[in-house]
Amino acid sequence: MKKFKVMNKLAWALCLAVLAVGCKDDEPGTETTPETEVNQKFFVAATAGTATYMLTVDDLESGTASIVGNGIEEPYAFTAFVNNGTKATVAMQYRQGDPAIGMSYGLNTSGSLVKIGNEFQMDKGYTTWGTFGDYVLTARSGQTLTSGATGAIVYFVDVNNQNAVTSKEVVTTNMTGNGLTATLSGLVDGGNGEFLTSLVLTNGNVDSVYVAALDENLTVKRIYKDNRLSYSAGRYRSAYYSQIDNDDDGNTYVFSGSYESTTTKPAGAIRINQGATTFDPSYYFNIQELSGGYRFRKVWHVTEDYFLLEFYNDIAYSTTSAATQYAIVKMEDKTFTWLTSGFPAKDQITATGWPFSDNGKLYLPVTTASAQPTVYVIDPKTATAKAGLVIEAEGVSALAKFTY
Amino acid sequence: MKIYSGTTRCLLKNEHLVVHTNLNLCLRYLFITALLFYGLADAWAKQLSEQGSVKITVINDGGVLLEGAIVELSGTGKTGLTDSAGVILFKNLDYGTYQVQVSHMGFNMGSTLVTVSTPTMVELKVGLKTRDEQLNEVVIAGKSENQQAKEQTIRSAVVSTREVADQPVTLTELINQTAGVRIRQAGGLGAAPDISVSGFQGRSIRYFKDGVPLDYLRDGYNVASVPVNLLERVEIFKGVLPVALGADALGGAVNLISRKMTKPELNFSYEIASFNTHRLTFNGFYTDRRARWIAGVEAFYNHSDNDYKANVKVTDPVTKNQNIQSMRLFHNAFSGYYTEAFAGVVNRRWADELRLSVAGFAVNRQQQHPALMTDPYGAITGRQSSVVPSLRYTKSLLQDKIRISQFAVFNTVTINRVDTLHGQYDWYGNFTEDLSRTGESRQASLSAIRFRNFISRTNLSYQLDGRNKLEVNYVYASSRRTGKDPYGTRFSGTETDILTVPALYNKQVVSAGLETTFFSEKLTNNLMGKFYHFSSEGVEAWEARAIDQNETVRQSGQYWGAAEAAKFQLSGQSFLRMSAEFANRMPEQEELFGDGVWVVPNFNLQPERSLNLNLGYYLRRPSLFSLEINTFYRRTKDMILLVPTQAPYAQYMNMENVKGYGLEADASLHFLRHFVVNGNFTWQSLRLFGLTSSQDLWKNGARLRNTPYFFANAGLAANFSGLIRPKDRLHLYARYNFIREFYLETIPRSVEAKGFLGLEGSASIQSELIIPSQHLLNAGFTYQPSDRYALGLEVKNITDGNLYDYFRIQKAVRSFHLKLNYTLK
Repeated sequence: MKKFKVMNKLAWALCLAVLAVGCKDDEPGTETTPETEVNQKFFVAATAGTATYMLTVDDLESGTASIVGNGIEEPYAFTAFVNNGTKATVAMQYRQGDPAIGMSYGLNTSGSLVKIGNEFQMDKGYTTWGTFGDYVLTARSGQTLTSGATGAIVYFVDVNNQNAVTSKEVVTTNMTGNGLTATLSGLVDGGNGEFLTSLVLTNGNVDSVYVAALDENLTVKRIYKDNRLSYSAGRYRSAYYSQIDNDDDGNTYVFSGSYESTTTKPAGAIRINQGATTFDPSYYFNIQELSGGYRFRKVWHVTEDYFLLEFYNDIAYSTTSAATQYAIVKMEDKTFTWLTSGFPAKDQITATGWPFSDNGKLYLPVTTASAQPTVYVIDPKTATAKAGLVIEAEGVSALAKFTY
Repeated sequence: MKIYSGTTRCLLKNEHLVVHTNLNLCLRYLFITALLFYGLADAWAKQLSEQGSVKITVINDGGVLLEGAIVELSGTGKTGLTDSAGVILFKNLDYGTYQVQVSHMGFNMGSTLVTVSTPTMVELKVGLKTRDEQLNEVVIAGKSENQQAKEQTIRSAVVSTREVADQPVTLTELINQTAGVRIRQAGGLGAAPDISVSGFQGRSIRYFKDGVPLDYLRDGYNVASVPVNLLERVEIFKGVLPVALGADALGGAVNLISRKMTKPELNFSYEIASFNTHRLTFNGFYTDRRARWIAGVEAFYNHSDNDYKANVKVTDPVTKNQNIQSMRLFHNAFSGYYTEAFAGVVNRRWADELRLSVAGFAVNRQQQHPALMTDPYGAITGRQSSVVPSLRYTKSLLQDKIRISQFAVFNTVTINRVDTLHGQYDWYGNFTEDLSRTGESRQASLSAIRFRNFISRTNLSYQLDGRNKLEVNYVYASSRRTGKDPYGTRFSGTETDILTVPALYNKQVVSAGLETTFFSEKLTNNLMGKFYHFSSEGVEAWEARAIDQNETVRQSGQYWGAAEAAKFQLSGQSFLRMSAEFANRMPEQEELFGDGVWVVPNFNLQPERSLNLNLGYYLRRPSLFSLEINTFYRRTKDMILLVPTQAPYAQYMNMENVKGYGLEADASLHFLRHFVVNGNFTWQSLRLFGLTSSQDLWKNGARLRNTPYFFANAGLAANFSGLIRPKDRLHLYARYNFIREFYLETIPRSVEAKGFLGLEGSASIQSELIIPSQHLLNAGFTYQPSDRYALGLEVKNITDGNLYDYFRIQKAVRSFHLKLNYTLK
């Protein structure tokens, strides 16, 4: 193993040298500092027992990696991983009633995986997360604020400043003008100094969808409302999974998995065009019609306007039902394809990790009853998958890409 | 001479008691037993009617009581050694006149006559004169009871607490000085102890008090709370358990032997130490002149704020970043008392001893943090309390050929946990109110859980002839749990607390053994068989599953075990010992039924099974040196571990197989008249085997996790007397303890530390889970101006090192301890 590491270093040193030479040739006259941006490694958070093992690999599409004797071993499980850029990934524990703790990992100048910045605390915990500018955002709704009102605490984690955390409060009662209290689900950068979050109203109308735009001071800039969908959030126990995300052009797609059994609206999606102050009235995508009645729980953007949706395995579902079947949707064309080619059958999958998209593909860690955790490489354009990196561990929590 | 040892049987009505089938059973049991004893006593009464007893106290010419004097009653074949009070008792002597011969190393032999003509005990004092000339040859000195315990066929490590009674030392520190044994504690005084014996841990090791399984006293009386003053000694059995200790231990047992007093005595001690630590003990014993009645009190009180500084992750109020800072703990106090009063009759025709005792205890503990020192709590408290009546009966019959002892206890332990705060504390002790949450931990609680225990232990030994002794031991233990928690889990669709449904657990262990001597007592052999049975009943419940009230589940199982032990005396000073046992450890209630919240039930649990082999060599030259070397091999299957299933749930499962061997050596040397140096080390290689799933293949051959594999101790002591006053005594001592780094999780064998026995360097792994190598140095002295007073001073953790027994739970920094002792005899 040691030998292998040395070889690895040599290989990287060689690459660096070649690149340095390459830079010189391409851009005569510039400084000869190596263009380090192109050095990259992939990050894998694997689990075994109660511990998580932070590993790096050179390739997600093939090969084998092992936690055995490798990586940084942490004595706990992480609930969420957030990637903001390629410098670091932020890993967060949930820890039930105790305050949540986050920490981040990245590469040092020699390409070794290290803990970056400080560990930080989110004293009220978090139920949803995303990115906003240079920040990683997390939020927890249903809190009693310092004013006594009910609201949400939003934590702004500054990954460029040792993970310094600023916590801010926003009153969530009567945000939508109907006196009801909202739970925030999904935090998506609007690109204009605002972020968008879906509002799930307590005792609200399940045939409407609300999205709020907030600025960095948590001032509510506007509320988007529409009656073509139910609320936008996936549900698992007390967690709210984000069902909003941007495409490559900055348009925000607002999905709804139609979790509530009482809603009359099928699972589908509508759109906020970049910079628009209302939903695009001309865009509506009825996904449940194409899925044959199945509803979805999680949503991830892949590339362009391709998204991967995670569906419940059965037409009937509950908050803890298995959801291990997937489909690719192309939003503009409103096309729908089940992901079956090259991908394990839904009843074979015992666990999945957080996926990660890079270079037009989505990498999804899947554990099946009969095989080691495997990264499936999903090509959205062909809606096919192939087995890639195999990780010798019990499970894989998340993936990321780092450059140095 | 065991005068007031042994056990009794009976039970008492407890104030918490509600009439119940269990009680009826117990009473019936009691009645039958009483009948049995009455019959036996009556049958032998005639034979005994022409017999009396003699109590001999041996003193030197200065009036000091001599322990270990050899006393012989010529013509009877009876001989023995005086105990720590200089006393020996001969019972069942036919009427007549005997010559008493008394000898002790360094003294001239003494002799006198004694006549027994009534059943009343004859008391005799024999003085020995110091011998002027030193002997050239080495004399086998008398052996104290503690020494005898060390030389039993079934090996136990004996911790002689009497010798250190004046020192402000804790029992856990003393035990940690023993080869092969390691007690780990999460924190300061009173923190729950977890003992590791030859790599066996947790429930594989059972605790006893005078031979009775100790579960009924919970934290009120355990190795973390009992002061050394109140014990005669501690026996730590490694691997094989003798017949007299009836429990389903897999890897060993710890037997706390209470202080034995035979003469009226009062003893009081007080220790004051850093972190507002106060420890008091009181011990009183009374017997009338004819030794027909006894009464006594044994009491201790412990308190410590445990407010030492620890390195914790403190949240910066502005950036919320977690920075490691040395903070003083502020909600970490422990206090508790235990008091036991007893009265009884001794030396009667029908009973050598019948003792009724009532104990009471309460333990209060503040909880500073969750399992790891991650978050500060400022208001969570726990409490345990109970009133404990017990009865003990012993009787020897047919010139000591038959010995019967019976012990019975019936009590209810109440365990409370309070976590109802609306808000949170930070490490500075500041409180922030938050009305939207209840409880600082993840499990708000205002619980009162009651464990109602009944334990009966019957021990019978019968000397068949000069070479064979048969011993039978039976332990019946039952516990019934009920309780309530307004914040706890409810039955599905109801407001009924699941704790209100009783959970029952019964356990029976029968053991029988035959001890035989061969080759004029050179070889002693012990062959034992054991039978274990358990039954359990409770509700199948866990948090994620809807629970119905009628889902009561019953489980039971029965298993067999066997053991063999032999000791071969090589010479007067050395012997070889071997033992082998096939043992079972039955699944516990909590392992079967879970905790109703995060631990999911598993009704398919099998017992842990282990084969243990032990071989040892012992050499001792009294007052010169002693040497002991032991090796063991063990093969344990189906170890029960708590395994995370789907987060956040976990389940106990039969997971691992462990095999391995170990070596321990212990030596002590007396030199330059005043000095004793001793040292020991323990090295063990315990490794996983038999893993078949492809993901776990790499673990085969890996070390058993969370288990130290090398640790060592060294000690230096010096004794002086007549320094300031003619009979004063000064004892100086220093103790050093080392533990090699170890890992909380399984690490591959290939990355383990290299070198001879894995003792070189560090494991080549990047892990947060390393518990680093640690050094602990304690030193102190005791000064005894006279037999009445003693003063002890000790500094613990002199180097002020950061000590951890567990991951991220720091133990106390340097501390100072002063102890005063007063004895009135």
